[in-house]
Amino acid sequence: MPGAPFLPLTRGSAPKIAELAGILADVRAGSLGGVLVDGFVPPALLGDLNRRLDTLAAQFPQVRLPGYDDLAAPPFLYGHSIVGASPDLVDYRAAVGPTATALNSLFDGIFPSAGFEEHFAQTLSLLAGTPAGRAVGAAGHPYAPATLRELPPGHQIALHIGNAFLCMPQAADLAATVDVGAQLSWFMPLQPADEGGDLIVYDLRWDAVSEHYARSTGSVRQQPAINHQLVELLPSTIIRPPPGALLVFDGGRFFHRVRPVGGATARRTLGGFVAWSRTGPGVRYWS
Amino acid sequence: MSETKGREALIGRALIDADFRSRLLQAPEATIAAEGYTVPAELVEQLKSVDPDQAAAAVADFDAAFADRKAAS
Repeated sequence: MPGAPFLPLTRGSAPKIAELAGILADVRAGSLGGVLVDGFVPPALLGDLNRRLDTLAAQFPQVRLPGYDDLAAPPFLYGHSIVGASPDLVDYRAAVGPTATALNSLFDGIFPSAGFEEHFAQTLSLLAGTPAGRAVGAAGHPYAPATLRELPPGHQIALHIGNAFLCMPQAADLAATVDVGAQLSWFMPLQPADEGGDLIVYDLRWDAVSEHYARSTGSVRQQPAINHQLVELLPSTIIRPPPGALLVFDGGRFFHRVRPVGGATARRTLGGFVAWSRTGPGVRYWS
Repeated sequence: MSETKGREALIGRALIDADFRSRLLQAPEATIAAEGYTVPAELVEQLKSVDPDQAAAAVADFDAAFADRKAAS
């Protein structure tokens, strides 16, 4: 049932981003579902960016998404997402520095006056109306600023919800410094799929499932089992950010998934998470 | 926020609570009534068309995808 207006979005453009100042506070409060900023990366530069990624791929730590180890062309990350990390974060932390360095190399010269991370932090700061910086855990370890996700034809990203991260053991370090219980998701398409690959968000909130989520496992630790047939009985909305656009949406509060990629082209996105700091003013980002 | 015992709560619980999901798909009307949910009649009819075997397979696939995390937690 696509199209139900339960997740209102505001749309603007990078040249007029000042018009969106502070808007993430509305997303955090639940009065807005998200914000779409067209032209975060100028579309004319995306072809070059994708060619660069092909060249620089070896500079990124590359991690297959869980459950796809037997496939010849599995979905994978450029970088190491905390969601798939070990509970002690040793594997994740080893990938943070190389990922940040490779991201800055990838985006070198793309933004007129700043590198990737500086430009992204400036953008987030404006959207949030408060300073933005990379997340740092309780023990002082920095988190990765973002990851790139490559979803080959035939693959999808299964139903999930950002706040389930709270239930994972690897969340504890970050939860001490960042309000991960009210996290937002963001991504930017670098290379769209020929067909499919759309984000579909369901009118199913974390509050409706968190109690059962805990009971289903005996502790609030594990990702729930999901039934796509059932969730399709709820209202949903499809979001198709154009290539180069930055979407920040309430993926912590609402279940969502990415439809299977069709055609011959892999879907490439850059993405991560944002939440408000627990240790001072500002927002923090990680992946 | 939707009602606490409405459609969203029903489907949300069914996604996560395997025993409840099984009972719901085997006997939607009786389970909904017994658990005190209030949902549109249309949803009850839609639940009758859900294939439990296919649903179980989808759940198994998803569980397999996150098996490493479960083992670690």
